[in-house]
Amino acid sequence: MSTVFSIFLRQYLLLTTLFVVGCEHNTSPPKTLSVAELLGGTPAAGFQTANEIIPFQFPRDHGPHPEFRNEWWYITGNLHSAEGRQFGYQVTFFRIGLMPPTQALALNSNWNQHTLWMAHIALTDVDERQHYATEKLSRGDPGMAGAIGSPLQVWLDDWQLVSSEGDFPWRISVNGEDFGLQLFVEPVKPMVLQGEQGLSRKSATPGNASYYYSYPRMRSHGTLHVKDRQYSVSGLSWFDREWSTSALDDKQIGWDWFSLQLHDGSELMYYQIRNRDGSTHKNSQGKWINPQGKSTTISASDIQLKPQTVWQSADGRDYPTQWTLVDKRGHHWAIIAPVNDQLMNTTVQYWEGTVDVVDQETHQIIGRGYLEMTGY
Amino acid sequence: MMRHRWQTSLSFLAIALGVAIVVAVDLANQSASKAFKLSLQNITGSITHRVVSNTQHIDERLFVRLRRELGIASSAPKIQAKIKIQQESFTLLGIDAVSEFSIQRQTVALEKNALLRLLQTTNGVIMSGHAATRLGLKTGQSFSANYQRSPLTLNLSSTINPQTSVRSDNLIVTDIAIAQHLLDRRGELDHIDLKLSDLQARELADWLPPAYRLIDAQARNTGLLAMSKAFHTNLTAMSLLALLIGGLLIYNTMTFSALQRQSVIGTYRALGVTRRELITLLLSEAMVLALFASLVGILLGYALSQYLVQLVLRTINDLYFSLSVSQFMLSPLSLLKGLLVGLLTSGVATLLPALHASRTPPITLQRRSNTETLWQQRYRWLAVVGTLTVATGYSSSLLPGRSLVGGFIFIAMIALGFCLLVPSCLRQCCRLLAWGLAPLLTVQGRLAIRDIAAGISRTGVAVAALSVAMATVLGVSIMISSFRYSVEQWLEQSLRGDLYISVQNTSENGRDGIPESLIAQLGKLEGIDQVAELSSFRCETDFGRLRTVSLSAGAAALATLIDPLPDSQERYAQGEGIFVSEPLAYHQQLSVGDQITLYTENGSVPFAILGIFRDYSSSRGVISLPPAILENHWPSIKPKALIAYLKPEADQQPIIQKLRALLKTYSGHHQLVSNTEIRNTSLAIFDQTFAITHVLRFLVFIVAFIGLISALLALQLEKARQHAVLRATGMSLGQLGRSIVFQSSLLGLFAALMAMPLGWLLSDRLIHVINRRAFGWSMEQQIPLEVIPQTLFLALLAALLACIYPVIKLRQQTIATSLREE
Repeated sequence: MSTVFSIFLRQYLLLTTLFVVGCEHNTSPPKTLSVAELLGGTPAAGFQTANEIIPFQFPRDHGPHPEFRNEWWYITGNLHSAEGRQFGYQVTFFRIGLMPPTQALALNSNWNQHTLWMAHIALTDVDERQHYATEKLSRGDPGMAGAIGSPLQVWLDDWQLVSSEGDFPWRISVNGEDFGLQLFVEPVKPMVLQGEQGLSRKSATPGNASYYYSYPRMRSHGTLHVKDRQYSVSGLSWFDREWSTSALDDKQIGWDWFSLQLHDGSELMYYQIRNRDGSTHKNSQGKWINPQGKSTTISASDIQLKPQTVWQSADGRDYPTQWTLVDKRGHHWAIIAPVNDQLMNTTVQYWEGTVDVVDQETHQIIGRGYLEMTGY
Repeated sequence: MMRHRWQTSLSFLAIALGVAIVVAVDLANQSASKAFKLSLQNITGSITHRVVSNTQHIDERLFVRLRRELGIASSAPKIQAKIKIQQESFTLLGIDAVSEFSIQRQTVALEKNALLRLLQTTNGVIMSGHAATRLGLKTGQSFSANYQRSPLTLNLSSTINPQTSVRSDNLIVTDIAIAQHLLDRRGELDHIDLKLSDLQARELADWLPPAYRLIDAQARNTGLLAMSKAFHTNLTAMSLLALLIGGLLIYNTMTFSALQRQSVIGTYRALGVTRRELITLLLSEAMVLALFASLVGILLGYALSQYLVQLVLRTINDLYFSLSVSQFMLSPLSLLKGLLVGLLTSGVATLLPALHASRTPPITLQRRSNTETLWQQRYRWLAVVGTLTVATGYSSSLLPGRSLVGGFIFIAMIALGFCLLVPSCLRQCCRLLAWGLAPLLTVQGRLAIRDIAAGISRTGVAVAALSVAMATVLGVSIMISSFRYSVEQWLEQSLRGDLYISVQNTSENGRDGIPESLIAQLGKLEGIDQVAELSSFRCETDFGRLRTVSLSAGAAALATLIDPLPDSQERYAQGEGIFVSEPLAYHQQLSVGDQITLYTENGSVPFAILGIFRDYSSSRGVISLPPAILENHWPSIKPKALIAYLKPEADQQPIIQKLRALLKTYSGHHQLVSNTEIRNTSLAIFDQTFAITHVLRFLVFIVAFIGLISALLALQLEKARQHAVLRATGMSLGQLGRSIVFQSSLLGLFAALMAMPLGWLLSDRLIHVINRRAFGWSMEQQIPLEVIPQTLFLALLAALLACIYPVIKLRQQTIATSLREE
């Protein structure tokens, strides 16, 4: 789960105030925004909002939902090479509706103005303690970026996530400035509908919700390259799909999202929404998924997350890269980023990176996962 | 200084005006070239390469493939068109802001949400706040524009923040979808800007289909700069001319001022003032005057340049391309140049007579006749040097050469040499006149003529200044008139058709050309003899993108060939080669029989040049293709216009009405213009282009006029004692006044007469050297007869105006005072 989109949308509004017609002095787009600016959005007129539970249909719902303002296809994962080298990766496609397709203007042009696409890819080379990230932006039409549900195809330029033979495995093919990934992913556990049968409420305000499902454990294999070196890799990935229209409410400042895949075959997803006053919002929630794929909802009262060590980014923001997690089931875990600097220094700035899950009693690594932190 | 108030004020005025002209023209020139460079930067920015099409346009699917197959993110599509708003040229640029962002171009701040607001319109555009103010537009206001003569309705969505340091004038930006919609160009792009590594560039060049080409942005810039070089050189020449005229003017008045005071200097010397002290005194006086006058001149020049800049930029916009920047550059260098011209020229003009005065015994100095005796000896030598300079300048200009600067130097030599010849000519003229008119002349008349010859040191310079100024005006007038005449002739020859029709029929896939049915229907209309199809597109060549035209088979040739071979037309009709226009042949040194490489839809192909045709529509060049070559190598090009040739007896008006009715049945934009309308519009543009020269002509006249007043005043006031003697011996005030007017008119007349041969010579060189070297155009010299009386009138007017003050002065002086002055 990532609400980067809403940040992006606001950012885009600012970004677009910088227009490109040439000038002597360089005005670079503001990289960071105040939290209030990020989150105080009002839903755009004409878009649908996620108000009620709907039955998902696949593969249709793998495809785009242009009647909603925002949408993403989000894959994160931990990979290792044959010689034991550790990598974390992220591949995300964001769709941002500038206006509902129903309101699109009748222009004699194929360059429809209603959809914008953004994609982020990142690779963490754990052994080298390096993090690489590349961003691409494009409007959708006339075909530079887009998505199709059946068979799944999501692309921006030459970056793509496609269903290879109409079904699984899916193929990921992306190339950044210093790295590239060619991966095949396929689920080993069934899909999980997040929230309430796929309706994930972000606040008490009706409509402040998204449709959200995940494939929490996907077997992954393929190749990747970092600079000049190429590796055959395998590991586990996590796939998130979410679409919505409205942003979070005014009191919310940001969130910390954890997707943890444990060695025993279970997973934990939990997002903690932070309020402006420092408290945790009551709509923070997650899922506990047992090895058989049965999931249980976790609410804010079931779990205690505490930041331990903070890492400061170049622009002076403190990101907690070590956390402790205590839950009702008696787990005492430390969640530790092996590389502190996994900052996504993209148009929208956020921290997203690979983490190790360490049992506080045995001091053993019992799983790996991904952590996303926004609003810092 | 205070004693000679009139002289001081005149010197002051002369210096101020001289400096003003130098500063104004220089500032205008600087601003224009800076605007040119900035516009190029705006257009190309930080890009390294550009994909262009060998046909009219790029299929936008190529851009999608570029992104999806090659993953080139640093690529931005562009579509652009020249549009007119309130008779002013603008470039409408359609961009994709998101692509621009990925290419990381320099940016301009817009109001918040400006782009989103723009995207919610179908005709919204963004322009600079300055341009909006100039056009009287407010945000949200709709306004009309013209694109290829079709009306467009645009809406000013927002303006570019005026706080940014550069005003992006004459550039209208909009979203690519809106631009395609407005220009009716669905599916089309004009080019794709790229930021590539060398490796990417090589890969892309290999990957591109043959109809497209990858060009280096820097090379492109160089080409555009070369195109503007001729214009820049012309402006520099203007600036040098201003420098020369300004310098002459200052020198003229300051020399008079110094000479005027020779007797005073003699008195000082007799009183024991040393040479050094004397020189210091004279120089410091002159410098103080020059400094103040120059400062005033700089202010004046600054004010004048504001107006000149607009004119210059307008010319560039009309002739070359829409400048996206039209900012006024306040260059300190120009101001310094003006100041230096003011100070140095004044210094030299004072120093020379001062040195002379300091070396001469005091008693000689007090005698005015001494100066004249010296001059009488010099003028012969001046005449020899002058003749040699004119001859060298003229003969050098006949040599084959291509340097524009060289051309201007030769012309300057002719003008300067002529200046040196003037005193001698003036003496001869006076002698001839005195002899020829002897029986008719009164004593006063004879005296007036003799005085001119006797005071040659003053009259010679004044007449030289006036005649060179008049000659410049004359030369430029003849050149423009010849140019206009040639353009008219050319229009007459190239617009052989009677009616020109363009139809843009649109379909899902873009333009489909002219519907077949229309051609058929046209042919059936009563009174129409023949219908030809005209294709026109921009073709990529090694010399840049050139306008290329092709007329369907059977139609009369578009233009006349220069020195055609007997079989040129026949071979052309058979598709054996192409024709190129004169400027292209001149600039690229191409001649009949040479080959030229064109980038066709099938890749690069060499074509034989079968003929060179006259064309004034482009100083870069035009290519004419026979239909067979067009069909083979540019199969996608569809005709853009139809030319109807009427039967000789047919009446145009009823046919036009029928045609208009017929065109209404077709969708899309259509235009119908007659050859007369095209000719009139072309000539109107021509006249507008040369508007700037009227301003310069006026300035030259003012300068000459002031020079003449200064000379006449010096001459008349010096004769004060002589006049007093004449009056004492019985000559009436009226007689004396008439004598002054007669003398002044003679000077004006002589100046005008001498200006004529020089003017003719200058125009001849301007036409055959400057125009040729700058634009590659040849034209017939055509002397408009009305310029002869005009020149005479102007010279006489200046002469008459110049003697008003001396006559008034004369009336104020009493005989006794004047006699006592000696």
